[in-house]
Amino acid sequence: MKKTRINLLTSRQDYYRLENYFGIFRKFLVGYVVVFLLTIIGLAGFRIYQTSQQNKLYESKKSILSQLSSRKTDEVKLIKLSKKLNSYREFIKDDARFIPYYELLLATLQQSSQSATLTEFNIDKSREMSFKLRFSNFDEMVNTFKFIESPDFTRSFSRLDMKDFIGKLDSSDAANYDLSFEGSFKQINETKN
Amino acid sequence: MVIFSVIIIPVFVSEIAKASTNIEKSRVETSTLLIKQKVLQSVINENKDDIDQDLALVTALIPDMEDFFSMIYSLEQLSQSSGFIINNYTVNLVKSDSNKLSITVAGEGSSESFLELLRTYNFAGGRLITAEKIGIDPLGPGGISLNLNFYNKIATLETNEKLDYQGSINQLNEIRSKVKFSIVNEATPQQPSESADYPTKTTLF
Repeated sequence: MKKTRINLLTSRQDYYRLENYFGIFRKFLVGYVVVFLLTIIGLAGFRIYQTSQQNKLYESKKSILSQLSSRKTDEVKLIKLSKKLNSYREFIKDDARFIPYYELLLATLQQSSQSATLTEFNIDKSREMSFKLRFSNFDEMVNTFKFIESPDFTRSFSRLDMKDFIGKLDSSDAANYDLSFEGSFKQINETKN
Repeated sequence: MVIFSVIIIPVFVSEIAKASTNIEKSRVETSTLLIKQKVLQSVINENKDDIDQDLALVTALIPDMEDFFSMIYSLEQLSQSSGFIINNYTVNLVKSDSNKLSITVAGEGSSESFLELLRTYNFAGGRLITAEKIGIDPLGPGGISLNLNFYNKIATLETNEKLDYQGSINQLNEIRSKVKFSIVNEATPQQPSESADYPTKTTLF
């Protein structure tokens, strides 16, 4: 009978145990190699995809730049225009925007009384303002004052305080009532919300 | 094999991370260039003949350097278009700086003309004018005075400043409409219908 294997281990039990270990190791090694190769293939594939993306972007950038360079003169004008308009946006912040707030105040006051006369109005660029109302009728003044305290009026202001109240007789003995207020407007866009 | 994999996989991952960063950077740059190209194209297509005029308009509003002649001319224009007679002006050096010239303007006119001046002073003179504080007190003594600011700033071609081309074009349309409105007013100053429609007159004065 021809021997196909030489068993150098004395114990048959040790032989099977070792053969088992080698079997597990072989499977592990095959699995590891497969996973490793798949990972490498996946990573390489992704890297190739990235390279193609980079090339596409490079080509696109190159094409846009070449088109832009043919319009260099217009681009220079556009840059100058944009810079001037940036300056405009910066400088216009210095403006008190008197008329829109003045009209807002008048429109709001007209909701309560036609007899109130706006005798003074001041506003600065931070929307801090003061105004003075004159009435010739006490009841009208009280009605307007109630309206000024209502949310319909105060929603246009972030702050509104009464500064002064003066009642006096003029040369023809007619009574005049002056109400002075100071405070701060909300930005016009905010009040629309 | 294990040592090989421990080295090669992190190298690959690091390469991919680096490439991702570069791609993102390129994508942002390309997108910015694309917006710039589109805006440029739309500006050129829409305003082929106007772009020089637009640049001249904004340069007139905010000249590269202060120009006293254009300032005086602007006050004259403002006076003519509103009907408010400006008879005196004083330069406030304390409130002025390299990009801003502050002047106090005094004048006389009807309450309607003063309100018309307040309505149009930003653009009607052909220069950008702002007023940091405005007050009206018709019962107060004397004439009317206003502190006005004129501006100048040179537009360099350095690209360190963030530029919003689309926003600029929108802003330009807004300014153009205001300036055209003022120009129409200059041609027909103090139209009675405009004064009569003005809602502020009856209650204030």
